[in-house]
Amino acid sequence: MNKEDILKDLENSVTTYDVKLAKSSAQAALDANVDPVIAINEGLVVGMGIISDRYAEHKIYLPQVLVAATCMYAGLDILIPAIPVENMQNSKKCATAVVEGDVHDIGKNIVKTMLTAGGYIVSDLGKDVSPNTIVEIAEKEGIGCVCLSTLMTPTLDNMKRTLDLMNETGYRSKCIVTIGGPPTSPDFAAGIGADHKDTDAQNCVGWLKEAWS
Amino acid sequence: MKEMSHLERLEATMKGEADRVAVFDFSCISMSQSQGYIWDDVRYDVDTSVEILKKHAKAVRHDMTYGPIEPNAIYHDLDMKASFSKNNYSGILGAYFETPEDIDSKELYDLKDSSTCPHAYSGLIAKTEAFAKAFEKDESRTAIANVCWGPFTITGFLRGVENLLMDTFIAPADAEKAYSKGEKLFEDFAEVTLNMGIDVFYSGDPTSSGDMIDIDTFRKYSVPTYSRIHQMAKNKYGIPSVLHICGNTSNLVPAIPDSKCDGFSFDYMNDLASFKEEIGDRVVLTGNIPPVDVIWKGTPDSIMMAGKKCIEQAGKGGRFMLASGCEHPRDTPLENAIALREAAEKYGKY
Repeated sequence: MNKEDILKDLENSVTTYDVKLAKSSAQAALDANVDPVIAINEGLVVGMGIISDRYAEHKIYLPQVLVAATCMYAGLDILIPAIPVENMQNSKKCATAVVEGDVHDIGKNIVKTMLTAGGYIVSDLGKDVSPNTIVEIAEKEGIGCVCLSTLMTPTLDNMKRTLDLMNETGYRSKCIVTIGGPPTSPDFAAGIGADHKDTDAQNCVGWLKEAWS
Repeated sequence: MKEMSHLERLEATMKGEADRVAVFDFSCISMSQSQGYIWDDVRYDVDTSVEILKKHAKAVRHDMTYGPIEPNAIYHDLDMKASFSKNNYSGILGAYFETPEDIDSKELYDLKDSSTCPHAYSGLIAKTEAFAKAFEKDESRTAIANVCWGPFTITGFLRGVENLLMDTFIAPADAEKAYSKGEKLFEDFAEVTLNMGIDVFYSGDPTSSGDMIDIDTFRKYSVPTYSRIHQMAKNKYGIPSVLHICGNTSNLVPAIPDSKCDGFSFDYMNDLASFKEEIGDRVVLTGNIPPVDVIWKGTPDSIMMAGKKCIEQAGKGGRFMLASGCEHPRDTPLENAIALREAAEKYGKY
């Protein structure tokens, strides 16, 4: 197979929800000495971009997005370890977390997927994450953008607590913070000192690309 | 004309014959918080919860309400991983049916037997019964609703939401099997609580949100179950049903009347006026003031203005209940909850 066919297979594996094809075409890319970064960006990421567009247009819904993401991650699991470490060092790093007290993580997982598809290195801190943990890991890993999510209104204040702690430690000045989830709003984001609020993961990545250029 | 009682107004609202716009009080943990309680002391305490509801209902005088229940209590008897904040609802961290095989092999408790699910009773079911009993002799009472997660949401908790959603697409047989278990829990809950003398059957179904699933999935799973239970509530127990779905539900609206709910409660980002035009002749619309920016962070004045706007959009012809788009945030001031009723009194008279 030539490079173009392999890249097309990687793209198609995501858009046709074919996890076997994702694995086999990722391996084929390595076997054919295709640069894994190109395989990711011009194959898997292109496919996930198509999925994102379909989702934004309400042509597909979360079940399809989640399965497509599973395919993308299956390919990434094979391709990322093949990227030389020195090539990863300049990549922009993001962290995603559902704030303390909340365990609803679908929105966060979609943001993680879209960020990954957007070329960012993503540390997923999980759900029900304390402000201390978020700030500690952000500092330790040199995270440049923290994405906080919550579905519930009672846990909104834990977004503020996280930002307050980032201000206290001084890390806030080194880090973009974006928030999301149904109860959040631009006014709320401004009130707690976040840089951005979005309820659409793809829009959020688009905003980040401009804000963090 | 004599002012209707809360129960009369709710009944009349369902027919489009109320004296004014009715108000649904979407408080739960917020009524505990505004009275200075810590949720840990309320979560499983039936007597305290009754006192909180009585005091709250007397203060806000809304037409329909439910009490301070722990919404996730029905999962606490299943040994699922959970987190318990001192002053917040519990969170469910894991799934009960972690693998497709678990769906066949793992049994649920018998919701009709309290000894098999003590937390479900003390956090939710016994409270519902106590709320209904506490108000039963009071003809001027606010209408008391039960609260239950919808069947698709229950199934999502049991199977894991992402697993369930993916199964609906790539393993529909597994999704259907899991749904039948979640549906059974929902139906048992309905049967138990409908026998307790509640005034309204109420379900909240965030996982059926139009942000997550399409209308075909909603029709396939949720609608038949709701239709059956809502008709049972009406025909056997003579009470209305209100269905709440979180998030954007504009894609689901055409299927809402098929669920046979009497009232449909929906979130703030939906267009109330277009919903009114689309299904307002068949379903009592309920909503949809922004819960965070207005109900919690707003003032009584801004709530009055938001309420006026909603009434202008959907009050005409009756069949509308003023409410928050979703549950009142925990720290909502009591005066903001009261302002919602004052908006209906000022702007919602027919």
